[in-house]
Parts: sequence; structure tokens; C-alpha cells
Amino acid sequence: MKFGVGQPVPRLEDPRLITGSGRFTDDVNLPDQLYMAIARSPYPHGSIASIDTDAAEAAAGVVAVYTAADIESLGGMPCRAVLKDRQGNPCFIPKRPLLAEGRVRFVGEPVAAVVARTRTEARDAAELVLLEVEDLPAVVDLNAAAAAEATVLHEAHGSNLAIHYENGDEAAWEAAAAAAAHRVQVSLVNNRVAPSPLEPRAAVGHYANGTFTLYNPSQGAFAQQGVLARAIFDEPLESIRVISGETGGGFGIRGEVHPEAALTLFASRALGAPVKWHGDRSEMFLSDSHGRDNLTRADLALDESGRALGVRIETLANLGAYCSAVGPFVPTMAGGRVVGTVYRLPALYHSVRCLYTNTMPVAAYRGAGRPEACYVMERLMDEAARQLGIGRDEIRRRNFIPSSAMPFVNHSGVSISSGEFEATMDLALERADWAGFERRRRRSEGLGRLRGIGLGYYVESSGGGPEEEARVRIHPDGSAEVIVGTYSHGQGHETAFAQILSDTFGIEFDKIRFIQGDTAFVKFGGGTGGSRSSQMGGIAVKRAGEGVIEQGRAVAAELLQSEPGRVTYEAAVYRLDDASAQVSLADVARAAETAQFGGEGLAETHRYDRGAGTYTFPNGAHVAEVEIDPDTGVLHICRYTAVDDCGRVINPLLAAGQVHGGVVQGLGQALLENVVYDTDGQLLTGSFLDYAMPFADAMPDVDVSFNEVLDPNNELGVKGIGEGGACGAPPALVNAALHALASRGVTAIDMPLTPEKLWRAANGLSLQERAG
Amino acid sequence: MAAHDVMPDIELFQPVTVEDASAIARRLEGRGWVLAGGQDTYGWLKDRAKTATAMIDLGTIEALSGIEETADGVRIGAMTTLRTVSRDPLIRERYALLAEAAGKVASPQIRNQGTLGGNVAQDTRCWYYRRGLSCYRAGGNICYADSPEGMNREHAILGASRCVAVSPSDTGTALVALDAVMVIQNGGSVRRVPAAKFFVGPAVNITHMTVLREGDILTAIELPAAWAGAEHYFEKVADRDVWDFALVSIAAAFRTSGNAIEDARLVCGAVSCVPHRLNAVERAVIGRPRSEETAESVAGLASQGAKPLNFNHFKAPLMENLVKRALRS
Ligand SMILES: Cc1cc2nc3c(=O)[nH]c(=O)nc-3n(C[C@H](O)[C@H](O)[C@H](O)COP(=O)(O)OP(=O)(O)OC[C@H]3O[C@@H](n4cnc5c(N)ncnc54)[C@H](O)[C@@H]3O)c2cc1C
Repeated sequence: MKFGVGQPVPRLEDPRLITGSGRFTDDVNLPDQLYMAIARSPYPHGSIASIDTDAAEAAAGVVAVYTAADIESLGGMPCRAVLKDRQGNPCFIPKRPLLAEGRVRFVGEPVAAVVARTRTEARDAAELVLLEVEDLPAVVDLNAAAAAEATVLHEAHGSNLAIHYENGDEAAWEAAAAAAAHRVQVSLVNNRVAPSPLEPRAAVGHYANGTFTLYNPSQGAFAQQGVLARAIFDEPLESIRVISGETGGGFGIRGEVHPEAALTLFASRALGAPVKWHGDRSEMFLSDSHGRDNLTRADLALDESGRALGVRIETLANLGAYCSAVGPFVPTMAGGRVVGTVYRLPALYHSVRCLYTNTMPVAAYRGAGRPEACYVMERLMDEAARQLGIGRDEIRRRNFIPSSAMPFVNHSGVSISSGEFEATMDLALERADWAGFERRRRRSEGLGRLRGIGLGYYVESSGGGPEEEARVRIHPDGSAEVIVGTYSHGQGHETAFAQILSDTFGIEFDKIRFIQGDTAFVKFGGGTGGSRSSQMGGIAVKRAGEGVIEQGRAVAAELLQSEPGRVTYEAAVYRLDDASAQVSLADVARAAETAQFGGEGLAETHRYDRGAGTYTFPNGAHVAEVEIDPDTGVLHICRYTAVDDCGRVINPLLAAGQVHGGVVQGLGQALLENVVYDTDGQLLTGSFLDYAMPFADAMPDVDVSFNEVLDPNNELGVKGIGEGGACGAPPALVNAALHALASRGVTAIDMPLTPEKLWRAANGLSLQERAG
Repeated sequence: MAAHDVMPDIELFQPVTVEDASAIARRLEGRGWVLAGGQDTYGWLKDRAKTATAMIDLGTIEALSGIEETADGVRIGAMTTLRTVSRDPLIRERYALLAEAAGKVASPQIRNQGTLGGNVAQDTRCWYYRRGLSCYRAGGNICYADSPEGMNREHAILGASRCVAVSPSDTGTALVALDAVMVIQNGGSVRRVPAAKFFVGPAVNITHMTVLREGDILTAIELPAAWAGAEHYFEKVADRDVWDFALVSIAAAFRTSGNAIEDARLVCGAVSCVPHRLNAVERAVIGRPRSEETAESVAGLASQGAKPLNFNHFKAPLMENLVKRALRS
């Protein structure tokens, strides 16, 4: 099968995207539309004394100006994380208003929405909105937020602590630590990043005839519809239609409803015209959810031979000023499900304090919690290897959960179903020529450069929401149509799902039409995130397809005047088992539309339920090799090897694309990307000049390969590939840099590894940036 | 239907002679904005930190582009793109230092569009100033970068005076090293200013980075034959190799006789408000070979007088390291 599962089929969506005929939200322009601009708080923290909108209202072209007082009928933005601490107290989740109420809590918080005839007029007028506040001290630093004397962001709650999440057994850890021959500690920063999809956020809201229509980029229209209907507008689901055309990247944050989208709908209803909003890049740095931002201390207890006895991981996690839609779920349970990652740890204690600070809320970002969990274990393993004088591969070998122990139930009660961690690592070591490193190091040394090699092993628990739905229909011309609740915002589902259906039906790849991202068609679905689409949408699509074949078999049997048991199906043809007669899939579909067969046509909806609490476990070994120039601190990535186990590879091209993207994002975080708020809470990294995204020239050629260990719990055997790169790359890179700097006595360094930081480390200078 | 997603109205002038461009600029006074490749200009407009109601586009003045040999060297029209400067065979052969510096500016896209004149006339990149805050340079009476909380990793360690912003121009260092001459026309009169005097620090003028004033059009940059074919070294250290400004850069040119350095120019970028010439190093290397030994013995002179801010102490030793590299043969 040329276009079936496993084939490197080029992406169906690319011709459209690279010729500029994709339809993104900003391409949507409705007759008589108005434009919205948002006036944002320039203050990190203050109680609102007044918001003077007179000048804005009087400005040229302005139609309306809204502040919190005008939108009292609307709810706030909900957080769907359900969390309790060990004592049974729920996580404190304050209201997150669409427009600031009473207080402003971060720079960039929306204060007023201005609607005008043109975008420029709206932006000019937004600058005339005069916000006066009584300044409150800004809480930016996580340690400061946790301090007893800290200024409290949400006063009624009494502290900045949203929840203290705990898992594992602290007493067991204490016992393990007491019995240990070795103790290894690390103190780590998982830096805050700005996910920055290529497409800035945009929204067009249109209210007409009792129905709201919202065009906006998302990771699944259905979820957005639910939030808007239930939490914000309190209207029936059917009254809101959400349409996501092309979406230029999601990375987790496009899974959220942001306030501007809801405000365009509100304004459209109030003004009787469509309203468009389009953020610019600097606005995105201020107002698109951020990712990561943890401080972690971890402590590993080992026996004489380097076998782990237990681990304690304590994290302060920054939520920002409010909870995003997933907020406290990311640093706690999302990563916590694979706490301890791929290692056997007899004892474990995990503690996470989620704190509010005067910064933009933090949401899910590629990997969401799992890259953080992996980074901790991989730094610990390297540090243990160094202190115990054991090889870094060897210490992992001694501690990996062996495949023979699977399914393996970890400390979070999650059953890791499959994986060959040691074999996967060995493949990576071989491809990276780990053994030949010393030769290359000497060559670099001769050139005055420091060379290092590092390893990062990761595992994820993937799948997201346990249910997904697909509907497959065969048209009378024999073509297929598939509607699915997952949502491709760059991944290439149109291609991958067509491959699955092409396999299932044995029909031509280009006879398959793909529909997603419009709630008028998609009636249920979990969207895309958490590496779930192939394992959820993929299986729903496959089973719906199989259901259609069965339905068709019954129709074919009647047409062939036989029994369904005697009808075989292959390559779009139903045949009697003695090959005496046959009827095509198209003919069967046509017949199914006639009254004789009920007139419903050949269509099947399948809702797949993976089972709550079960996941798949993509995992992999990444190896980075770097060279550092000690005179300038400039780091060059010489080589990068990724061996991933994502279960069955549906399309090697698409999978490699996901690995490339994930690795580059992980390397970006490790090398350069860093959201900086100054101590007063002002955002300093408000443009791509100040927020350093990696460029192609600095990225290595990634050697991608797979160790396909099929998932035992789904019939495609798929696990997911979207996030592994972002998990594997940061530890691989940082461990490589530390290895390079070992000869200079460096044992710890925090991301991002800017040239300056590396140069300081290489030259024995304080890593504190302030003062020399 | 057409969308209304438009820029504010800007009056566009497209003169065909320098005299006209200059006259229009003078007539418009502060309202006019001389436009070359727009790579500095458009950022200001898009960020809404500065506005212009009229643009004087130099792109229509043919005489301003191109590279030609003259009796005493080479003359580069101010509107010549950075890409052309970095690729031109004549420049590469005789003034490779400039070709390399121009080739390290920003990114290929920006070099395709940005001009040599615009690169030397561009405004500083201090992020407080670029954000539109009312600092000294913007006519206010505070420097945000040099406050106790100021984030000043990118800022000056030399030659600051109230304002601590640095000159961001990568070609500026090379032009100073090559003793280039800037040809400036205002109305009918032409003046020729040495590159080292073209850039001005805050002690001289806190709101202007160069000597250019209303009605001044930079028409050409002349490179003297004296530095043609000189030995050279260029290096730019930045967080990224493309699309990023220097943390520290060095442009060096040497004339040697036998083994010994006869004349030298060493200029550091991004350490001061102007391309910073290392006079003490230049004097110390005369008569010595380009060698490890020379490098070690003079490098310490490079950062003499440096006054680092809270977050940029690294720039002084980085200057020294770059000087060493320039001096190793
Ligand atoms: C993302 C980014 C990265 C960058 N990185 C670098 C870098 O690494 N190194 C570097 O050196 N630069 C860098 N730059 C700056 C860029 O190179 C300069 O902005 C560009 O060279 C300016 O040239 P232009 O022709 O586009 O100038 P314009 O924007 O058209 O003009 C710049 C200024 O000079 C004035 N001007 C221009 N030409 C003349 C003239 N002939 N006579 C009188 N006045 C004139 C204009 O009035 C304006 O004030 C970067 C810019 C961006 C946006």
C-alpha cells in the first residue's frame, strides 16, 4: 500500500500552505467589520483608582470602549484543573476576569477594549485610555512569592500559594536517605519561555441571528466552544460556533481561550457588526500564555554501587498572576504522572508549591510538565555519575526500569506499559559514536575549544482526555470524508489520518476529505495536545472506518443476495467468498443512500474511549555534542542524535518533523530563550530582539531514528511523538555543556546557556550576572 | 472587501536628486524622516515609539547607489545595500574587513534591504529607549539602563555620559578602522567627515548618534587606498550568529613590513556609544609581530578605563580576548 501506515508520504497540506492559499484567522474579513484594540496595564501590580476612557471615546473612528464595568454579564476565564492537596483542600483558583477588575496584576493585563472603524484608530484610541492605580509592590521572584511577608496578589486568599501538591512518601524517602551510601543534590531553574507560535493570536467575532461565530486559531474548536458557552457567556452550546481554519502553531497555548476572543464576540453582539482583533508580536509576548518557570531542588539517594534508593523533588512553580486553563495541573500532575521518569526508585517524595506572581499566566507548553520532570532526573543522573565516578550511560543502565518489569506501576500509580529504555539508549549511543568521543575531544582541545557530550532520556505519559470521536462517511462516488475532534495546527493530520483510512479501506489517498476545527461539523472532541492525536483521533478514525466496512458488508450481502458472513472486503470491493460476484464500495454507498437501505448512507461515528487513568509512554534517548569557545562563551552544537520510541511510526516524514520541531524548541529553551521580568515586574523581553529564538544556523543536523516498541494497549501500537524532542533536548544539551566545562571545574549551570553564562563558567567567574 | 488594517497616513516624497532630498528635509523640519532601506525606521513605526508624518525616500536617487574605484581608493554610495557591500569583488579583495562586517549584520533579508548609509546612521538599540521611555536620549532626565535595577548587559562600559547606550552598527567599527571618510551633502554644500568623527557620544550630543542634522544627506563613504589589502581581523560575539546585535565585536586592520606591524587600527563595537578605537593597543603593537606574545602583552590595554555597569562586567575581558585573537597571526 503506497500511501498506507508507515510510508513517508509528503504532507497533503503543504502545497496549500507554501503557496499562501491557507486560510488563517487574519485572512478572515467580514463585511462591515470593526476593529478592536486592547488597552493593557503598564503596571505590574496596583489597585485600580480609575480608568478614564473619555479621550478614547472621543477619538476619531471610535465606536465603543469597554471596561470591566461594561461586561459584568460575562464570566471569567475558567481553569479546568481539578486538584486537591493531601489534606483535601482544593487548589485556590481566583477569578480571572476578561478585563481587569479592581486590581491589575501583571504588565499586559487587559484593562479596556476599544472598538473603532480601523485598526489604527482602535490602537491610537487604546493609547488614550488612562489607567490610574495605587501601586502595590510587585511579586516577581518565586522565592519572594513564597515568603511569609510577601505581598499577596489575591488578598482574600491570604497567601500566594495556590496549592501545595504532594505525592509519594516522605518518611520512606527519609529512611532511604538515611541508609544511602551517596547523596546527590541539584538545584535547578526551568526557565520561563514564550511559546511564540509563528501566527500571532487573532480573532473575528460575529454575532448574527442569535448565533455567535468565532474565527480564531486553536488546538480544537470544540473545547473553545465549551468554555465560551458555559463559563463566559452562559449560553447554550449550539448558540456558539467556533471555526479554526489554519492555525500557525499551538504548542499548548492555543488550547486556551484568551480574553480577546471572547471580547470580540461580546462587542459584536453589542454593536451589531463583526469585530476583528489581531495582536501584534510584542503584544504576544505580553499576553500569550507563557511556559515552564520552575525552581527545583532534588536529592537522590544511592547505594554503594550507584543504584538509586530514593529521590526527593521539591519545586516552586510559577502560575503567573492567575490560573491559565490548565495552570496548576502542569507542574503537578501532568509532570507528576511520570515523576522519577524511567528509573526504578524504591522511595520517592514529590512536593510542588504553585505560586501566584505578578507575571503573565503560565500554561501548557510542549510537553507540559514532562520536560521539567525529565530535566530533573537527567541532571541528577549526570551529577550522580560524576560524584560516584561511574559512566553516565552506566549509571542509567543500573537504574532503568527493565522491559521485563513492565507494566510497571510508578509512584503516581501510573502503569508504564512498554518501553525498552536500555536498548533505546544503546541505539542512541551507537549512532552518536559515544565511544569515539575522546578522539573528538582531543581534536577540539588542540583548537582551544572545550568539547562535551551529554545524554537526556525522557518518558512521557501521553493521551490527554481519554475520549475522542471520529465520523467517517463514504460518498456515492467512492470517496471518503472524515470528521475528527482532534485538531491539526501544523502536525499534518490530514496526511496521517488519510494514511490510516487508506490502509483501512484500501482506497486512494487523494479520495479522502478531511474535516476538523469547525463546531458546525465536529460535535465532540478533545482537540490536539499532549501528543494525543494519533493514538486518539487515529484510532477513532480507524475504528469508524472499520465500522463503515461492516455496515457496507451488510448492504453488499443484500445486493449480492447472500449472507454478510460470505462477503469479503478488499481494496474498495465487496466480493462473495467464492469470487462469483462483487460490488464496489461506491455502489454500496450509493445503495445505502436509497430508501431500501434506510437512506442514511454509509457512515459511522465512533467514540473511542481509551479508559481513564491510562496513557501511552513515548520515550527516547537524545545525545548532544557541543564545543564551547572559552574566550567568548560561544557554543556550537556539533552533533545531535535522537532515538525515539513513539510506538508505531505512521509516517516517518511527519514523525521526523515532530522530532525536529521538538528538539529545536528544547534547544531554544536550553540555549537562549528566556522571558525576563525585571524586579519591578516589567517585561523586558517584549520582542524577538530581546527574546532570543534560535535560528536555523545555530541548529544542528538532527539525526532522527526510531526504536518502534508498539504500544500494547491500542491496535495501531502508537504512542505519540509531538513532545519528546522538547523533553530530551534540554537535558542532553545542558549535560553536554557541563561535560565540556568539567575540566574547568564547573558542576552546575542553569538554562539558558547564553554565551555570557558559559564564558563566566569557563573562566571561573560568578554565575550571578550582577557584578563581575 | 478591503480591510481597514492600515498604517497611519504618511506623506511620501521621492526626490531624484540629493539637493531636492535635502531641501525637502529642511522644509519639513522635524516632520520629515529620511528613508533608506527602512530596517531601523519601520521598527520605530511598528512599535509606535516614534512616528513620522512624512518620508523622504532616498531610493529614487540613483546617484546614491553603487561602488566605484576612485583615484584614492573606493567610493561606496550610501544607498548601496549591505548585501552588495558584503559580496562586491572589489570590496572583498581590497577591504575584506568591511565585507566581513557587512556580512555579519542582522540576517540575509535585512542585508538585502538595509543600506550601508542606514547602517551607520541607525539609532541605538537600548531597550528602554526603543520602548519609547522618556530617557535622556529621548529628551527626558533619567537613564533607566543605568539605574540600580537597570538591565544593562548590552550597554556601554566606555565613554558613557548620562546615557549608556551603545552604537549598534557592525559596519561602523570597520569603517573607523579603515579611516573611511563620510561624504555629507546639505543643499548645495558638501562636507567630508572622517568616520571616527562621524559617530558622536552622549557627552557631545545626547540625542544624536552621529553628526547628521536636518537636511544632511550622507551620500557616500570613501575608503582610502592606504588601507587597501591590509591584513585584517573581524569577529562579532553575540548570543546568536544571525539576527542579533554584538555583545562585543572587533574590527582590526594591520599594515606590516616584514614581520613587524607598521600601522594598526583596532576598533571595538558595542562597548561604547561610538565605535571604540583602542589607541593604547594600537600604539603598543607598532614594531612588533602579530603573535601570541604580542597578544598577551598588550591585551590588557584594551579595556583601560572601562566602567562596567551591574550586568556587563564581562565586556572588558571579552574585549581583551578579542584583541588577543586579532593579534595572533
Ligand atoms: C532584527 C534586526 C537585527 C539587526 N541586527 C543588526 C546587526 O547585527 N548589526 C547591525 O549593524 N545592525 C543590525 N540591525 C540594524 C540594521 O542593520 C540597520 O537598521 C540597517 O542597516 C539600517 O539600514 P536602512 O537602510 O534599512 O536604514 P533606514 O531604517 O532606512 O534608516 C536608518 C536611519 O538612518 C537615516 N539614514 C539612512 N540613510 C541615510 C542617509 N543616506 N543620509 C542621512 N540619513 C540616513 C534614516 O533617517 C534613519 O534615521 C538590525 C536590525 C533589525 C531589525
